[in-house]
Amino acid sequence: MKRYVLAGLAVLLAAAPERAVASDGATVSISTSGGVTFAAANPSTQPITPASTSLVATITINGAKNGNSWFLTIRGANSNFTGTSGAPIPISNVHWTATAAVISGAGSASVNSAQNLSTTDVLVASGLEGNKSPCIIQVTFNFTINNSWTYDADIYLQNLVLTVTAQ
Amino acid sequence: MGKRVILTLALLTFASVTSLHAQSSSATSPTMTLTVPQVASISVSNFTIGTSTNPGNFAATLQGNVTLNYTVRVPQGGSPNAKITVQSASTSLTAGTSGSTAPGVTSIQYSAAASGTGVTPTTSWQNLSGTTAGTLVTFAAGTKVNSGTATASFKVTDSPTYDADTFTLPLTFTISSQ
Repeated sequence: MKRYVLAGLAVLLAAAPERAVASDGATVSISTSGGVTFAAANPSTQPITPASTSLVATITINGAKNGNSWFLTIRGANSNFTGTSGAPIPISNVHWTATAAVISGAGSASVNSAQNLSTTDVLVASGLEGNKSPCIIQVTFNFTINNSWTYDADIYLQNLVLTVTAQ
Repeated sequence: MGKRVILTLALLTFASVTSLHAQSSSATSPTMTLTVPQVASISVSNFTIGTSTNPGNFAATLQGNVTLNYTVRVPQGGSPNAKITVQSASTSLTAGTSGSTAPGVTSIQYSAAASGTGVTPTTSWQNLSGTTAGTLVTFAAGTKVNSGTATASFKVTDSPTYDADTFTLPLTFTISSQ
């Protein structure tokens, strides 16, 4: 009887810590290359204004585990761009496309189709963490905005919210 | 003996479920900046004020019109300096023949016609200046005109002192959105 109990405890001690490391020790972080700047020109000549630069989001997963997944979502912090004197401009005029690449580790990445920005989290990219840590993924966003004569001359601001989840 | 083995397996299953549901999240909030600039452009062609055709009436008024095509987007706080102005680029008209007596610049008058929300033309006749710009159209704060047109009119009263000739005067039209 003692042999069975000891054998069972041995299996428990050997298996549980391996999974605990994967669940408790995995950390994920995200950083971005900067902000997004639209320099809207004359709407008659440039009805669609691209952002000056791409936005690169770097996702780092430490303690990556084979079979676990990661997800990146995007949304606007609020529904409108706001300026000092101009009328608010809906962020739904912002359109994004994304590409993703695994630059370290053995994970995978795929992106969803482009969409307009909203205040609801929208899945941008996802993949597997792989069995090699750290797993680092770069997601590159290209943004455009619908330019319009209805916009008041002003400088408008709004924040994006990029959230990465690993599980 | 058998009961204790079953208990051990149950604990293993619990550990596995915990691992599958563990998640870690991180978020960042980069700033989006949208710059909507003031826009102001204007184009105009050469035009003729008029041709004196009645030698018997030296007091006839010669008047010519020209269309100004413009684009403007005035900031909400950009008025009252948003305007279209005209200024003579010379203090005198240039005659086709040397020695001809020409009208003085200040004897030429201008006015304007335009329409639209926030668009105010100078409809009364004003004397052209050879040194300062005259206002043809003013734009209120927040005015946005995609493809606007204004008509500038210029006139001069004929006079027996003017020699028979063709006189030219360069004009400068300027639009400012603030």
